[in-house]
Amino acid sequence: MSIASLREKAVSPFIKLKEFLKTCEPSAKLSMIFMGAGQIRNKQLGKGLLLILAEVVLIVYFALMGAGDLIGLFTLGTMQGDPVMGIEGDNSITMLIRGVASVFVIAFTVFLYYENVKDANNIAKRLSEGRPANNFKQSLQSLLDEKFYMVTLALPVVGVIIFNVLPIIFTVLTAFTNYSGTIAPPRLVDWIGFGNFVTIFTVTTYINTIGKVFLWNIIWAILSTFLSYFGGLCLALLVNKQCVKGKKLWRAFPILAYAVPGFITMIGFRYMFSGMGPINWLIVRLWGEGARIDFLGINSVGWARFVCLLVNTWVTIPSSMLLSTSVLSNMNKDMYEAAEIDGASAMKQFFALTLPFVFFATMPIIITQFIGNFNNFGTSFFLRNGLVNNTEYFNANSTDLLINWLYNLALGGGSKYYGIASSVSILIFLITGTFSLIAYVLSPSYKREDTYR
Amino acid sequence: MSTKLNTSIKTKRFFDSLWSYILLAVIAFLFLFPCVWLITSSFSSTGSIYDYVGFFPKEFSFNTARRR
Repeated sequence: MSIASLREKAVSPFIKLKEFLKTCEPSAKLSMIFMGAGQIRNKQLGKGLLLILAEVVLIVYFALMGAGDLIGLFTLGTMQGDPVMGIEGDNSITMLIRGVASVFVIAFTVFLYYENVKDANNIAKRLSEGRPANNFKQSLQSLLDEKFYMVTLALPVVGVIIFNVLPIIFTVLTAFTNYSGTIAPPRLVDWIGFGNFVTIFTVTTYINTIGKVFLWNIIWAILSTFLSYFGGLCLALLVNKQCVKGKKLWRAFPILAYAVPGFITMIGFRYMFSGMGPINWLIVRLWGEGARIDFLGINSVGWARFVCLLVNTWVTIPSSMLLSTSVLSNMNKDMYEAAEIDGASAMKQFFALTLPFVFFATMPIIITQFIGNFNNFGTSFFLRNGLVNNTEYFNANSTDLLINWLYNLALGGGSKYYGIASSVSILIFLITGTFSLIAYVLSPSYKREDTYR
Repeated sequence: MSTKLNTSIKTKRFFDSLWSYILLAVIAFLFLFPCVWLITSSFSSTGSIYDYVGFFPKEFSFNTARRR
């Protein structure tokens, strides 16, 4: 894209605004000066008064709180509290949240202003064309009729903004501050730009740990998704075999395991594989004291990873089996008969018929499972929580994923590295977001949407 | 000729279903055992994992379900 066209793009809104100012109705201009004035000129008293009230409320808000909050978002406090001197200082974290909230209010104000000018212009045009405009009562009634979606959506949208969007933005912004266990209110927190990312990628302890954790995270995500998916598929195919009688009974065993909450079984497995647990008891009974295996110990790498994969597969196979069973029940049996007559072996049938069909139907689920496994906090947490004083890793152990490391940085241990943990969470988002976008666009479910209709 | 063919198909089918059932039994055990083990451990007499011999508690009781 050339610079000229870029400039054209940047300038075009202003040109549009200029043209709008030339052609618009006087009511729209009045509304631009004060919200609701144009509506009153259009003889829409109720709407106009409401908008005037909104503008007054917003002005009062900005005068009393909003402006200060917005400045606070940039300074994050200037006065440090001192209990000895009796100075009540600024609380940087509260200021951060209130600042974000004030930005939301500003965005809402801009939106309201835009809608208000547009409305004034449209109604004035209508009136000049001699068509009647809705009166206040009719406008209210339309909210319960053709504009009912606005009424029903208003509350959820506000709720999502307050309880989802605001915390997410707060976390994202935390990544650019030096907020941590030692630098927290009453001490002042400061913006440090990309300082946390620089720390992660330059300080030796961090770069060593993130390298190892990231590598294991990728291996883990691929292996655990693969094992649970194909384990479930093979189990479903096995139970579906013609010669197998009592299919419901065989399916009941994995489903029983599915019914027990995963974290309870994981804590059970933690004990089962622990140093004095039953598995080691069995090993010692069979091969003597020397054969004892430290499955989940603090410096254990290979065994710990193996046990984590095993336990995670145990927990996830039942749901994957149910999924595969339901997909397989939709398959066309005639194709198999035709394949058999043509002399295709069971192997050939599996790779040429079953797999493409199941892949097509479940690709979006595989992607979500992969992302879920990439961020599989539970397995490492329940099996090896607290084992972080490791020589090889900083605040992590050999089975920890990025998300576990993030948790350990922010909430485990003494110095709580909130800022760095938030930066790690942004990195995770970048990785998973990019991956799922690419994988979804490349998946057959997206490209050949109508193949199996 | 045809009977010979029939018996070879039959033995093939027999072994096919035999390994299917063996595999299913192993899988069923793998899924059932940890669940049973978890449930039985809730009936240990002291509720302490130090009272175990191997996989199961020394003696069973309803102690852990009793109010203390």
